[in-house]
Amino acid sequence: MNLGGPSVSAFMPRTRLGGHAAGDRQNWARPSAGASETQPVWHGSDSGAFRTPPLVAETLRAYGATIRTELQRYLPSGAPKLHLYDLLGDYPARGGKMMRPSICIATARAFGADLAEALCSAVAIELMHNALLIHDDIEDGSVIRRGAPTLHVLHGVPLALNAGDTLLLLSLRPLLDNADNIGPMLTERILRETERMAWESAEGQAMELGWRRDNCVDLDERDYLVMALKKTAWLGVIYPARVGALIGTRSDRNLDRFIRFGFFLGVAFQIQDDLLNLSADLRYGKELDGDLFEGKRTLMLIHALREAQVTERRRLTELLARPREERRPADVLWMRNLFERCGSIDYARRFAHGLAGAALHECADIFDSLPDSRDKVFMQSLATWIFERT
Amino acid sequence: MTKQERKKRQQPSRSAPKRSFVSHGQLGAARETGTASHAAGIDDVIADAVSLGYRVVEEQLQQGRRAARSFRNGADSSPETQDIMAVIERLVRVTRDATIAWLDVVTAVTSRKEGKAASVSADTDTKPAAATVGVSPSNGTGGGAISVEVKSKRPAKVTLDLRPASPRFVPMVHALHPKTPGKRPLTDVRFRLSPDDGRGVLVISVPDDLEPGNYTGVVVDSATDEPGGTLCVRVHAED
Repeated sequence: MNLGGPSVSAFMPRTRLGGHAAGDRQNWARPSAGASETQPVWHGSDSGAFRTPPLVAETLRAYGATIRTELQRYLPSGAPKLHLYDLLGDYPARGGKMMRPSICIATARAFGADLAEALCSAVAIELMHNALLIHDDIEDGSVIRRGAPTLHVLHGVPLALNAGDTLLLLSLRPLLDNADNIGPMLTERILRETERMAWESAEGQAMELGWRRDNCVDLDERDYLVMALKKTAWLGVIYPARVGALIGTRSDRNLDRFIRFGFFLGVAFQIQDDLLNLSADLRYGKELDGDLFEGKRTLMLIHALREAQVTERRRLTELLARPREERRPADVLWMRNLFERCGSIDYARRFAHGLAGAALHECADIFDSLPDSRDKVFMQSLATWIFERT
Repeated sequence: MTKQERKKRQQPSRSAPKRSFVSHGQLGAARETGTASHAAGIDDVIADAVSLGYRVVEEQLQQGRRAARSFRNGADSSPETQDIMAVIERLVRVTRDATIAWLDVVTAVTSRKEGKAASVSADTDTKPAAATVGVSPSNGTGGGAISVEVKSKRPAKVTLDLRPASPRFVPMVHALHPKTPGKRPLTDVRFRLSPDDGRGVLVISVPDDLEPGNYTGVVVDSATDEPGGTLCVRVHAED
């Protein structure tokens, strides 16, 4: 793969931090900012007051820009443009946090790899994520994604589905191209890792969709955690971190610890995402109360089903049994109020804080022994950042 | 007749049914006896979330390990699936079948571009029976070390000198020949991927009736047949 000079040299934080020469990893690894700017500070779960160092946002911006530039190279531009290739570039062009691919790069670099060795994998992760978003939106009947109508709303389900399939296929290209940088054996190892992630994600998605179809209302926290581990945490954190570690260490020893770290961080992220859905503003980019309209089995819903009075539980079960289009705004408002009455929102928030704390603990197990670097601090700060994002 | 005092049930210590998941299993027991998270001043919900989280993830890890073990056992029973080229060829086949859009991906995989030169050398003396020796490549090409596994009832010395011309070098050996023409070659020599760590393994099986002597051959790139090193196995006479 030819990275070209611009995409690497355009990666800002190395030079922004104290004016070190780009490519000088040792200098880059030494944070010049003060402790408060580089260390995450947790002010306690009750107050909800977190302070994440600004370098998290900076790193996401910098890596995000590099990944987007590289990702553009993989988007075909020929025919059939109107019915396929324009659709492939739609979701990536809408932005996104770039958390997943940035985790891959940051992990690889924290372990000593060059950006160029991890960039292809990061691009692949972002392509996979966008492909699955298209499929998720169809399966969930979502109408808004990143502040605009979903792809199937714009183009119809058949074309959107086909675009999602193509994007998923396309995501394998950068992984294969990376053989030039990391060799065939590591490439093959990462492909196996990709296959594992795909299985886990498919199983998690099937669990959640099946619960909705069969109107399962006897779920508990264990069910939820297993589903969220598979559906969210694998692609969201575990896979990117494990691929980054494979590239950074050239070894697959101790990869289980990334499952622990990724599980806690990924599920905390998912719960926070579901909480944001109940208080969505324009920056969130999704439909307000979309999860309630979809009957999504969130931690809040599982808690409310358990804590509600018998009559409330009966009504909630009946509402969940209806198809999405038959769930009226008044029904959804009632469900929101029920969550408040049962303390389900506060419960989910505290639950997520607990998981994030465990993620910090597991993160320390992985990264504390590594030399100081902005990538290391980035990874250590994600557990607090997820509660500050919008 | 004395009026007996009417029996009463004791007032329950709880005022609502126990429906929380925390009342089940060890976690609930710990909570009721007392002191686990209360003593540490940790919010119950947080303590329960973390405790349950660890149980769920450890169960998943166990399942993953069991699956990996069964997969590894299955894979070991068919050596050809472990062969590096088989993996690449399978990948190529799958991608060819998938869609025409993949053709250039296939080309990217199968073409061998010029890359950094690398040198890997191994010179190891094995004792009778199986032996495994690790060899570290100088530049990490191929993602890590190459191990050498020798199955032989007699002592054998293995010298591997790899000088791949491309980072995509996938080694292959056709056969190792003795000095004397017409004599039986050593043919059971192959490279495969280790299912444990994904690294390359050179596997050599020396037949019991193979004549002692020096067996040499060229290591070639399996895609281009370009030479990329040499392999020499010296089979000693029985002690």
